Amino acid sequence: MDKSKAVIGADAKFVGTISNVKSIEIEGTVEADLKAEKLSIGSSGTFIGEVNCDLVVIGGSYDGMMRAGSIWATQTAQIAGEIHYQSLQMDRGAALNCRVVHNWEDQVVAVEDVEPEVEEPTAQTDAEGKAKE
Amino acid sequence: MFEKGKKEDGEEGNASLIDEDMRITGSVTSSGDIILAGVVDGDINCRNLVVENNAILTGSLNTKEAVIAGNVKGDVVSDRVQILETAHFEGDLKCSGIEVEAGAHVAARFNKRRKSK
Amino acid sequence: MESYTTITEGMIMEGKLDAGQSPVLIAGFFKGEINAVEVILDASGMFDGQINATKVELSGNFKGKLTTEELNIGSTASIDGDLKTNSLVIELGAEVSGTIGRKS
Repeated sequence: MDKSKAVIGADAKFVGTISNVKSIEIEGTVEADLKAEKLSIGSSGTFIGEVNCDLVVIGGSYDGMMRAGSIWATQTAQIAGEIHYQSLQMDRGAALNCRVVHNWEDQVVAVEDVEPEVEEPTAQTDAEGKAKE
Repeated sequence: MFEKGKKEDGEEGNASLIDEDMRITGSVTSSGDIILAGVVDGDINCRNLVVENNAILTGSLNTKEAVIAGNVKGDVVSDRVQILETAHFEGDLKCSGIEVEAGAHVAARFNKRRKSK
Repeated sequence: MESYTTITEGMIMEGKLDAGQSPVLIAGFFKGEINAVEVILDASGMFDGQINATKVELSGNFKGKLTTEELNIGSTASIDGDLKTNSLVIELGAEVSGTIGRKS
């Protein structure tokens, strides 16, 4: 039993607020707003709410407004809502049904201040969402 | 009514035994130890108290240490209380240390208590 | 093996948690309602609210209401509340304030 990793278990459902956590794994269903360094949504996980993170790995369902430095949508990802990213990786099979916004200079504020690297505007993947106007 | 003469602290006295055939109605006071195996309808004031398995106490307890293995209905004021698995306890508990074994029947109201002396 | 729901030390969760079969480990702070099979409140954990469970272990700070089949209060626990349980163990050292009764 590892008590150093924050996890919402596969069978669990939580509605409320989560704060003061660096890294959290969601295997169950969460309706909350989250500000953290790292969020990982497992293949059985569902997260509904506002997210402000440095790094987000989406392997399950997400719906809401997400602002992140780095987003990795794996092949089982299902994303709705809106995601703002600086760096985005999409695996084949990931389903993005959301608005996708690339942020150049936006400082993603998480638990600690992190200086994001300014990246070249090469598109790493084909974003299925609407392009930034 | 049991009454013992004043004892020095730490002195090992003989515990008074209220055996299983005895039934006392009224309060029981001892500056020493009491082992209750019978029935008491009233309050017990003593140093250390053991309420045995089939004993019945209806009344309050004021002790230094109490070990309850029998039936107690009443309020307890004690430094230390041990409630064993055969116990049936109902009442208010005011103590600084409490231990309850699995199997014990407990219906109690707890009040925090500073350790005396 | 069921994955644990873990609230790590320092973490703050407020709201309603229906844990299903997932056991809940609280080493941080939880305020609100928990419905679970098993709840473990670590020595560093703090809880304020209501717990409905089958098995509960309290080693930290508990305030509120608790209904369970099995309750184990450890020596480092500090409890203030209404506890309903069918099986009770309290270790010496625990600070308990409130009421304890049977669940059924």
